[in-house]
Amino acid sequence: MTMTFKPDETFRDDFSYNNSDDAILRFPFPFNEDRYLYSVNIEPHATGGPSDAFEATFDVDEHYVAECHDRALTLAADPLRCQVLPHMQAAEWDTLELLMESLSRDYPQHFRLTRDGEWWTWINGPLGIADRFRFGDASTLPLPPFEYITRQAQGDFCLLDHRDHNLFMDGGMVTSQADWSLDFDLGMSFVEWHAPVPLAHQMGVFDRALQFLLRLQWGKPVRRLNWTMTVNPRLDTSPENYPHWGPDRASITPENVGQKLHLRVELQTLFRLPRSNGVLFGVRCYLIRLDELVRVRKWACRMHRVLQSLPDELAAYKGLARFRGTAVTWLSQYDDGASTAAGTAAETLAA
Amino acid sequence: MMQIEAIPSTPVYFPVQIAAAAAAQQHLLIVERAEWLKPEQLNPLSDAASSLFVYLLGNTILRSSTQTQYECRSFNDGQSLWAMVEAFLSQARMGLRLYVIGSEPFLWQASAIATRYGMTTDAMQLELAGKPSRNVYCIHCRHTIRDTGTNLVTCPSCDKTLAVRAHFSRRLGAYIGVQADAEEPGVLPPVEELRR
Amino acid sequence: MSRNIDRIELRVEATRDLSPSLKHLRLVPAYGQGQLLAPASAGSHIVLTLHDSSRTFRNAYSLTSKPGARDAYEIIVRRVPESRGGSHFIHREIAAGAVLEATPPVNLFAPVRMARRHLLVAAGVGITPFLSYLPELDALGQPFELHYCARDDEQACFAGWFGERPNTRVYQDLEGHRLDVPALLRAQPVGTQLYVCGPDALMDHVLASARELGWPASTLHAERFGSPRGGTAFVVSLARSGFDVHVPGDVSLLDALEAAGVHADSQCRGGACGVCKTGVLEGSPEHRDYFLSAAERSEGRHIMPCVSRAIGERMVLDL
Repeated sequence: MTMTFKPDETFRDDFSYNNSDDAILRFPFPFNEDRYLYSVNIEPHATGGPSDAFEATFDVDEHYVAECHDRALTLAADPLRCQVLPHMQAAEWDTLELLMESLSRDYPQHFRLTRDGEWWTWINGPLGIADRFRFGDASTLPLPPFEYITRQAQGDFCLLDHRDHNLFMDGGMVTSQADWSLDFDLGMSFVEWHAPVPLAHQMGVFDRALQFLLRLQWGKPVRRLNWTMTVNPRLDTSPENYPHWGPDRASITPENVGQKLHLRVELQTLFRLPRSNGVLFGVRCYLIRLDELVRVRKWACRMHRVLQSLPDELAAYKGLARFRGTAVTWLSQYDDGASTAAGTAAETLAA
Repeated sequence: MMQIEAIPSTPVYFPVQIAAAAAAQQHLLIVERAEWLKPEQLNPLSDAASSLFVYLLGNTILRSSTQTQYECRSFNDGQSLWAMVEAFLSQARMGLRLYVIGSEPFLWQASAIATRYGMTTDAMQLELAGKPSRNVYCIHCRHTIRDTGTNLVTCPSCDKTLAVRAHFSRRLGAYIGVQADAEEPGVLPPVEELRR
Repeated sequence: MSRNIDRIELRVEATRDLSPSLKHLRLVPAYGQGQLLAPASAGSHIVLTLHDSSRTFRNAYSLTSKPGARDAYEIIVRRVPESRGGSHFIHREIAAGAVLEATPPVNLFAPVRMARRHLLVAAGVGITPFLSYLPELDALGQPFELHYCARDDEQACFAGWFGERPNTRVYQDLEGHRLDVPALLRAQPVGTQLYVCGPDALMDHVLASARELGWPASTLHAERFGSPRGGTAFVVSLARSGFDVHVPGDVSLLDALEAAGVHADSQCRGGACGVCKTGVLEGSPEHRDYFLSAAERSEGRHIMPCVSRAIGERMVLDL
């Protein structure tokens, strides 16, 4: 697929972000039935899923340049969005290697990695970056290795240390999160950082997920989808900046809900890191407006039914309470009540 | 009054149970107020000589109605207490057990120092005492507001009214505070005092 | 094409006899110029699949090569008299040019990166995982001590790896008599993590001493080579598959199941990781693993087929 980047798209202020028809069709719609239930829902991160968004190891789409720019703005205002504890240096290099190898393999027209022993040359065409450095020697890079490479990738990344039969969030680059703070959660264990999620803990979801992830092996990454909703296509919905985006939640009306309310899907990927024996946790954020989403009939019906049947505690935790009713009413006009085909893949796109 | 909500990151505390002499080489007990320690808590070590150290904040003397021998030191203020704890840990050997009795901020101050010296959580015990007192980390300006006792607090550094969420960070020894009226400025829930 | 990797192929680039019982192998990617191996973490091992004329062996070996190396893996194999035969096979049959099937590196014995200090205790071929620790701990800049109990011939082999390190001590006696374990443990400052690898007797002695001296459980780490000992032959009936599998005396239950075409998940093949845990519906397991709790062992409703066997002649498994 030829991709045209939209470098001037914004995820703040005038919110010029939107999705092309191609981007809509490849959107990783998360619901494969008419209601939503927590589950471990981890699957191998293999190619050939229901959306093109799963084809590459780290998906690059038309929003790539604009998202990298938005990350740079967030970091300039708040450098604590990227923190790595000192013992995680090996994991930083593991991440740099994984991202460089994956991006250059999956998008050779945009990224190139050449290795001459320990000396690597990295070219990032869309961002106009060309650097030569020695792998393992941070003094040869303009930034620490983890920050350096994650500034050139879409989505958030967390470095997890594997010790004491547990995983600890000992580093991260987090600028496109759904209401959680790296600065606060840094150092927490798996169950601790998931603590605010209601219902799932009693179901044993996180205990099972942790046992599974402790056995994660190199070369066998896994993925799962998570979702919420955001008013305006804003990537940075952090607790830190809640005063900026909080008021948006109260601004939804029946007239603007189609344009302003977005389904926010996180494609979460997990990779065993080879040198550090840690785990890289990637959280890639996809945004689609309701009036783009309903152009796929199956998605329109499902979204309506899922929102309508969502337990109140979940709706409250996901921050949907204020506009849920308005959204359900608006979506109902697109729900013909008939059954929907299995799976999440888009069918045709209405005008 | 409101009950403190517990979620999986909320620490759970138990009364300190000093290990029998056979299970550990040395024991360091740090107590914020002498009256919060029951002398019988020291009994398991009544047969062991010179392996128990008790550090007390404040000038009161421990009631000594116990058979156990121990070395006790009192400190006028937190600064000198924590300096001595660091000096102790810098010389200590493996086989040390740490026990702390105090308010939540006191417990996690001790835990942070012990963690810096590489002590693991299975070598530490924390017992909560006194009236509810929480440190709150203002996520907007990163200031830590100390010893609070209500569900809403005002950040003295950035002036926002913060809702104190149940999510706790052991590293920071504090709960996260997030602006309470961001969605509707001026609309705040009632202020309630915490109770245990 | 899937991005998931289950098996890699390694060519033996060179072998070297370090002593009559110790063979060093250097393994490189089998095919393709410029192919790179997965970088490994300190403490990793690979599992080699070895095909003899009549049997298949799957044995785990610690990587002794520098963590992160992508050109080759190095292992050291000791010929064990009572082993299932895999090490004999390697000593007897494997020479430069041989192609071996292997798993990518797996790690159940990684150093704790947040420790203030590391204490490494090894005996005999148990030194092998620690050879990969040395460069990693140097890179982390954390202090450590290595104490190695070896026979004369082994000592000569491994001395070259340690160089002129002030924090390494080598003892003459395999049984550890010259190493005063309690004194060594008592001298360690708070914040130390302990790692031990060697014969069971040594590991049990070191771990028991540490516990008695008050070391908390989370600070104790052991890598057991877990080469399953044999036993008497028995038969397992597979309740869900509907047929029986005969397990000879010198074959592990897991190997027998795989030879019969039964798929059973496994990872470490040494009784430590828990992946192969299987339900027992009838009969009594003879537990030889390090994973099940005491309660699970006495209940007898689960077994780790990679190392454990049956008491008696028959057992029914939930497979």
